[in-house]
Amino acid sequence: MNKAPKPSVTSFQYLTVISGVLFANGIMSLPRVVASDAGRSAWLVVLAVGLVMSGITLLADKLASEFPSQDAAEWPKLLLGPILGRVWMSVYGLRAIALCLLTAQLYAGNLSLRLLHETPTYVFAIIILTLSLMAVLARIPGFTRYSEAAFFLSMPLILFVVIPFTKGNSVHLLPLIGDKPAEDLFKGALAASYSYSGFDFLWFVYPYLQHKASSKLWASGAVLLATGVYTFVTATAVMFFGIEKLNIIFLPTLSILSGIEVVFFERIDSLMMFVWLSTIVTTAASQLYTATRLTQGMSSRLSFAKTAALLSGLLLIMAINDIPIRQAVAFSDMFGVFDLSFIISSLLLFLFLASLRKGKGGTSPEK
Amino acid sequence: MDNLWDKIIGLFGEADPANNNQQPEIRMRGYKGNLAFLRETFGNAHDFCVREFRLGGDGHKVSVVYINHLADPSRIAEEVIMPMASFINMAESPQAKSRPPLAKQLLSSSDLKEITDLKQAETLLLDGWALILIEGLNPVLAVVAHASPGRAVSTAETETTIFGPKQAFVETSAINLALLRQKIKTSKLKVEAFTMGTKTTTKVLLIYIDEIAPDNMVDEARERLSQVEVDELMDSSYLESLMGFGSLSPFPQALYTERPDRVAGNLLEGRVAILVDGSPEALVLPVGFADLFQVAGDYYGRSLSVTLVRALRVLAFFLATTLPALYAALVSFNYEILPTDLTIPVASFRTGIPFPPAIEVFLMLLIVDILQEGATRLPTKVGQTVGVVGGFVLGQAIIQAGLVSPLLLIAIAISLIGSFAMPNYRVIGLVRILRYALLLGGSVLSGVGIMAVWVAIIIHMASIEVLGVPYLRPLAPLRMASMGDFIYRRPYINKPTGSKDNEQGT
Repeated sequence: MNKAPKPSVTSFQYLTVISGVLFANGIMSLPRVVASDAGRSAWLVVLAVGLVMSGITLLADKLASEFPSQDAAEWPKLLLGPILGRVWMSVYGLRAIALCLLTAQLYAGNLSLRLLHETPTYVFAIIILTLSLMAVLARIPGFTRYSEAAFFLSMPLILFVVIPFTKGNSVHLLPLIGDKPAEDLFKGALAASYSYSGFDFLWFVYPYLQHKASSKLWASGAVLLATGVYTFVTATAVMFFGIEKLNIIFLPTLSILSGIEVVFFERIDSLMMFVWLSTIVTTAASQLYTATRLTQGMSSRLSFAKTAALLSGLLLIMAINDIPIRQAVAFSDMFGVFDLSFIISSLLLFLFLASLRKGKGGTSPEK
Repeated sequence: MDNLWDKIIGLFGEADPANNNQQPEIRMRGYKGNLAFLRETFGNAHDFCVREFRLGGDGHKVSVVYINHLADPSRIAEEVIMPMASFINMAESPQAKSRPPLAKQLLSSSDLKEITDLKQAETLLLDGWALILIEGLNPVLAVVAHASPGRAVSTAETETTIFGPKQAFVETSAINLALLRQKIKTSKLKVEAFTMGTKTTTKVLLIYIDEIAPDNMVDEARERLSQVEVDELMDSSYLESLMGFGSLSPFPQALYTERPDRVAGNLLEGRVAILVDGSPEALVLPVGFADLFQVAGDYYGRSLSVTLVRALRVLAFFLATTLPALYAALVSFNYEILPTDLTIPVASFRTGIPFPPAIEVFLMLLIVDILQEGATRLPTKVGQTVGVVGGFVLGQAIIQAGLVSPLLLIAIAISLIGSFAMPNYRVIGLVRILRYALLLGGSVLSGVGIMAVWVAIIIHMASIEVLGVPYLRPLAPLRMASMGDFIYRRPYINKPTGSKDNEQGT
């Protein structure tokens, strides 16, 4: 039995790593994806989904707190038994690999589409995966420090959205409710789910938290922060473009930034794309870390560094096949629904089993 | 004569029982054997000196052995040979027996050792001691006789400040320690000595303030120092790598300073300092990225002006590292990012330039770095001339020849001046490495390449911990309490100094 992990992650880092993982996924296309189903109420749908997700995050944090010194590569075996636990970890690991690859491919596709047309998509994907491996090898203490720095780096750019918000027409938001049937609003909510993929990474960070007592506050705060940004961006996009135009703009978040001009940069959207790499790496690395730990969880003799290198190598090979950006976006929509269903059902099941078992152990992650 | 001899034997007392329990590395071989061993060991080097004489004229043979210039011959004559000579005269006089105990009078040196191990004798000889070999007395006597070949304490040369103290360390660790003790007059200033280098046997001092420096930090520093195994240790700069602090990382992970006031300030903040005999620079641990932008003078100026200067240094760092890469990226790939008013002159200046932007920038950086290196190695006045010739004449000629764009020259000049705004030469070296890495990223993949390199740099910095303290503090992890000495330097207030800055575990 190994000793518990050194408590090295601050509460603020807990917030930045969770919100950082969320931000990368979907913020660029979220307004269009939701508005195409939910219409003018898109921003309200995003807000509602965010509030629900915030509650789910509280539950996820509660599950983590049942095993204060173990991560999600360890407690599934305790709750489901060695065989079922490994089966669950296999599915969860595959889902992490898919999310990692999808995150890299979506960003790479967007870059090829908007900025560097002649560079093959896989070049960017390989860069993202290489940087993600670096971040994973920094382990949780180093990775959370990186995600905190990335948060400081990318968040100020979001503030530029304030400029188009002031130029937008609020008439496009009216009526606030009632322009679409409830069924469409629900579809819009499901479409928004991909933007919340990855919040479960907190299961791997929790054992390293310095102040576990206040973790719920910071975890739900992270999701609420992401929800605030998503809602604001969605409302801005609806106001700026109107619903009809918004439905045909592929990456509305970037498009609303493209009209902003500052002293040295005429295209803030391009700058945003460059800087967004730091957030993309946070998400991709979190999923690579998840997959690495889960692989380790299935076979305790595997070393962390070698497993991470092996998995990133496999991902590099997979990334060489260019996926057209529109296919990647379509896949991400489906993935978001699957991901949310899988995570929420697992969460509820584990909480139930944990309440039955009330077992607490003390093995260390990252052997 | 025998009576005198007994007194001499008694003079030095019994050998230390503790030493007797230790097995000597090289056993004593008697007077002739010991002398022969030392002569053979030093190969009759020209600075290996042996002064031979007899006790009481035709009495026992005595040899005083020392290394010239390491030991002071006049001091040896005054403190060793003359007292022994007067002792002989005194012993032969009728009043000799009524004299006070001889032990106190024979040698005036305060530091006297009895050596039973020839290896230790060799080490002491190399440390400036004189050895006294007496026929019939198997142990060798060692007396301290250090010469003072080092320079006197002078003003700082590489870390000059307008305000504040001017003293700088010298090459003698004992003097450097005294300079620190003058600043921190407390018995809690602890000093632990280590000897490193099988060939150089260099003295290394680990210094910290008890109850301020965290115990785990001191323990780790001690552990790392005790694990150093090396043949030679010539300077404190060897230790950073030898102690395992990122020998392959471009980022300095220790602070090198020649200023006692700066070391004292860091010790009071809970850090540890390492002094190496022979090195005029102390090593301070742990340091972070933020510390690279601070200089000693920051603590003697007004808070707001210091804050402004620090902010300028950070800006200069980013300009110095990123501006050439940004030029290459924007001109090669993404003209559209620049405002239209700027795009037109950039494009017009590029007309007729035979090289692609990346090669253009790379060549200019290469020329500038060669000039810089050349000027550094030359005497001051010649160096200035080279700078002027390189900067103005060569730059003008290159533009007139149409080899590079004037805008690039401006970007390179800003980058170069930015690097000179860095507080020390080690950071300038870091800037140089990052500049080329970023240029490569920007040349190949535009802004994405630059960002990818920056992300790699941040991940690398995030993964560094020096003695348990994260390199990116106080930014990541964010520590508002430490922000008062990051870019903003808070004014001095009536508050006791603590070690909060170095809290562990983050």
